[in-house]
Amino acid sequence: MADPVHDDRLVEAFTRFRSQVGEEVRPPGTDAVRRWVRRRRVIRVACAAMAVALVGAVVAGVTTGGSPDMTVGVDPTLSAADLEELADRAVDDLFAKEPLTASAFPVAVTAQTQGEPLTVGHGGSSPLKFVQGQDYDLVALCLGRGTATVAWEAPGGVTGSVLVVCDGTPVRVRFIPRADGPEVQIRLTPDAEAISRAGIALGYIEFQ
Amino acid sequence: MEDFDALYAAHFTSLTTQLFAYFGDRQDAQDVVQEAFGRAWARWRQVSAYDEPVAWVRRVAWNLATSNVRRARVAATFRRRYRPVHAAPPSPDRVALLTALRALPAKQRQVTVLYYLADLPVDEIAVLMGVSGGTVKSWLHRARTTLADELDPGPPNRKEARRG
Repeated sequence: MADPVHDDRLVEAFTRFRSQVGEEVRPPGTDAVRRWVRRRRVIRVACAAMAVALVGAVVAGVTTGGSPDMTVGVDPTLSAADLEELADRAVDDLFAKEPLTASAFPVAVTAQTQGEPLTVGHGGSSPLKFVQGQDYDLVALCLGRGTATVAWEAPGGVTGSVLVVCDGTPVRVRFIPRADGPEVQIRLTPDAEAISRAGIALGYIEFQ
Repeated sequence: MEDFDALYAAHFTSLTTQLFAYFGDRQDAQDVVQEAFGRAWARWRQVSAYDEPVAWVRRVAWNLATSNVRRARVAATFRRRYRPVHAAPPSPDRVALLTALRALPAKQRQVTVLYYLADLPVDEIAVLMGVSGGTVKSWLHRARTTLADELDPGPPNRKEARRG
């Protein structure tokens, strides 16, 4: 293909660009990369722990003969697979609607707790540290029916809660730890309508 | 097995420069590259065994950069982050080049950056973008023509005359 453009000018322009920009880039460093990965892993661990807890809650419901449909006179409850899909969609929506930074990662959860509050912590032996005095936003988005209360306790005893309506509207709340610490305890309390009918995504944003 | 820190030191700046040319925003470019390296570190045992770990990081960075989700995040981040800053203005050359790049459709802009800044040959660009070599050449040809038009300091009425 004959090229009408004198290529040398473009090569020169891009070479200058590369040289100028290269001098200005300040890489955050591999320590920051490793911190980010640790946080993702820790939150995934939390997610897995919650999945186990949810399975336990479902089993408990079966063994005691409890049925969400008998207690709530609204739409039928969803299957476990549908709830997972709903939670995945909530995660996608959260990513699309909130400016999650590289250090943030949303967690998909399902509101299948039979009305019982559920505590989720990072736990484990991870070196993850929330930093005292630094700003974080807890972000939550719920899809499906009903509402859920999201309560948290950050290092240093900072606590709070927020009601999330399961209509796809993201909620952001700021927390500032009063101490360094490895975990934030998140407590979900769905209302009766949300039980087995909603998926929630949780994440946080770190402000540096 | 390649050392992660060495890979990062060797390629972070060049990858950021490429994505800066694509985004037109250095902070967004840096965020994307940092995330790509994070994903590489998360599965480093696997990635480090590849012939070219940097090719994996580059692919992930470009996937992040071109995804719809990322675009939405970038826009939202920009709106929230925007603050007036006092810094030395970029050179006229850079402004002209970034302006010219913005005039290109996204695919042509990506091809151009990969060719001129990543120094990738056409066949590697084709693999990375999942298109044929002919398509890459065609996009590159059109991009060069547009860039030449945008960067050419010829008579001010040249473009209008050409359009007429």
